[in-house]
Amino acid sequence: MNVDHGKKKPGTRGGIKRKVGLTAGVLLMLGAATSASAADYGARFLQQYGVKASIAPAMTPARSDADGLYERYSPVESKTNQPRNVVSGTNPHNGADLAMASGDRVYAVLPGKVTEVKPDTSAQLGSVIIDHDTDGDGTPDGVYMQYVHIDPAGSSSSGIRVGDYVTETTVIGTVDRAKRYNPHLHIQQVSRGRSGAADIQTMPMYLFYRHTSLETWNAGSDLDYVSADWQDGNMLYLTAYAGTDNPQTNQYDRNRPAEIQLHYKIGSSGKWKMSTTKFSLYNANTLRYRIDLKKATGAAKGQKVYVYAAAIRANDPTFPNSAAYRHGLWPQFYKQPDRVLYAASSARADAASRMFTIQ
Amino acid sequence: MRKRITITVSGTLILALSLAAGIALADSGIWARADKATGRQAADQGFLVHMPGRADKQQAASSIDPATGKAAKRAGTAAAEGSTGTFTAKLAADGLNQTLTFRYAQSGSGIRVLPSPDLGYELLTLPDGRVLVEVAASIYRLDPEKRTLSVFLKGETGTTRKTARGPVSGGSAKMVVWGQRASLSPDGTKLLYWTTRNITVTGNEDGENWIKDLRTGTEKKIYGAGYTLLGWDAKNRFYLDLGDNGIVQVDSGSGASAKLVSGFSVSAVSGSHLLSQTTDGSLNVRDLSTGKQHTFRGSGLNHLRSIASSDAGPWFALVNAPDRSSRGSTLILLNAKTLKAHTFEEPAGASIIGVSWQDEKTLLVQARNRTTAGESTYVLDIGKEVVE
Repeated sequence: MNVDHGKKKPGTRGGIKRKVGLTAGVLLMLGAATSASAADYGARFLQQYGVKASIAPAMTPARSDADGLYERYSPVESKTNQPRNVVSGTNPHNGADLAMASGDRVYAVLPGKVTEVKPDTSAQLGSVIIDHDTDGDGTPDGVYMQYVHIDPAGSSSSGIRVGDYVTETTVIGTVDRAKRYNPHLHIQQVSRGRSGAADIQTMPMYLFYRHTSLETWNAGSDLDYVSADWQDGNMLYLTAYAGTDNPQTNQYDRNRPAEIQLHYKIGSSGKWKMSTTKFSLYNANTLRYRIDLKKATGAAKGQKVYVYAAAIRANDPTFPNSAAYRHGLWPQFYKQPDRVLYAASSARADAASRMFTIQ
Repeated sequence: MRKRITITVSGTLILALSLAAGIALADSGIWARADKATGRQAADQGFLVHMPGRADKQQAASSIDPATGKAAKRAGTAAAEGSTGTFTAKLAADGLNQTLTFRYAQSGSGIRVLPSPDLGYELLTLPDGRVLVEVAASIYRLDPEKRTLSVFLKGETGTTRKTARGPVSGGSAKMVVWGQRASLSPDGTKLLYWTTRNITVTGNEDGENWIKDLRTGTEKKIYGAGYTLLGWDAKNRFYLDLGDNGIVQVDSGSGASAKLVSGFSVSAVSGSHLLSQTTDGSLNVRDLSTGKQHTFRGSGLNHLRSIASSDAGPWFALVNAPDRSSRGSTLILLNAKTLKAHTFEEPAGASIIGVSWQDEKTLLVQARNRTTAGESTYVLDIGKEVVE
């Protein structure tokens, strides 16, 4: 499975360098569909809708004390659950990258049972998958988290192995040293306990960390493109920003996208267009945006509109010469609408869009 | 200041010692006798802190306004006893111009700033009451009384400047970590921190361990790449867990180092002992003052999920998996000096989820009810519970 090609060391073959993330979310509350599966549109990234729920209050995989009790919110430095190249829909980044130090301990975010341990020999370096026990009753719940680019704590007999039950204070590995990639933890929720499963998909992680603060992961939004979805009447809310390292402050800033476009068609046989109305900033602290779907599309009450959104940053310092890398799209999907600005591929746009009934 | 513990152990350096201690297995009474608090509590340099647990996080999640994305309730830390307040301090240095919020508890001797990872930084309280704050990939000094923040680390080392950026490899320049993971030596004279400042020279992000001499202000590299800090011993040596590369001991003065454990281990360090498990069923116990090592077995010891040590020792708390594929754990209290152990089953219907020491005799055990998911913290008085 294609996990991460974003942090290759200089000079390594394949050449795509470290990425800086575009994290964006768009939200809506649709009663009809609670999730969209791969079968719907050939997606790699599974949608999760809903703003109030919390799957389980997970701990962070990084800790600041040797006992593993104090959480550490490492900055998210990646585009999350998006193709890096939005035009071709290729080179996906499944999950999120956390800026952790080389050799830093990696802890299980919840208790659970280890389903896969890969040693440090694969293209993605080492990895571990855990079937997490989200309700704490001692039984795994089929919620799989994969921890990648680590040296699994598995090379000695006391290290972890498949079948082990681990707790939140169990060290499952350490962040790999700068070999193939610059050191970081790649973390993602997946749908299967084995990374080689043919039908494996990447899930949203946002709901694990919905509780976090604006200072850390912006209530989980850093960790997922679709961070929360909310529809109030015809108003569609989204969270969108680009996470970029700031050379002046040595911090990751959350920068507003240059614009957030709404692409739409009215009725199933309509023609795809880009609205001249853009999403407007609703809350500057949380970087929430919104748009009135009725006004933006001109649709009448009772009409069905199909939409997808594109949050576009002014530039991407990681890929300064490629406009194709500046987009983040909602809904998430592996095969993006090609040439998204013009919606040239109506079939892909159809597959990716969400439908609303104008009120 | 840690107590220096003199241990008289004779024999060979590696002494295989199997103890079949007369253990009070399944002494469930310990949980009934212990003080019990709701939620998760842990110690921060001896100070009791309420940590956000499941319930706190779920309440915070449900308080988020779906339109604005803002939470009405935070899942943050709080003083376990007494009230918790906040204050702000402005950080205007190194190109930063921001206001940080800090939580504090009013203790008898003044303000105690609380660790608050949800506020976006890490901190370390110094003996003089001031606090080191890790933010923007560097370390700053907070005076909680004056509510001021100031530069702590030097802005340049040799030809390397703090504001320099790492080499560009086709993309953006790499961010330099100037300092993080600050830790104070037991004698209070040296501060250990980790940095990637050499990235501007090497292009490598594995980082280095540096020491700041708090008496002279000098800063120098003391050891190469290495994380995580396990702790310090009474001789001002620190111990790094290098994962599969073992555990290394480093003298904070000379920089002399020695690898004490090869390969991955479940491990912990107190001022007097290093414990490491590399093989199920046994535990290596190293006396750090003499260098002598023993092997502990028995007391139901199988596979360790974690170990917690107090700063001074000699007691260690082991979270042991009798069956590593099962959720069940036992708590083993081991005196590393005498190698006597006491084993306890988990609280009825609950899972142990974390252990930490408030001081050398007080152990905090976090547990989660397997039916209700309710979390609680047991406060064990080891002096009363374990009679030797």
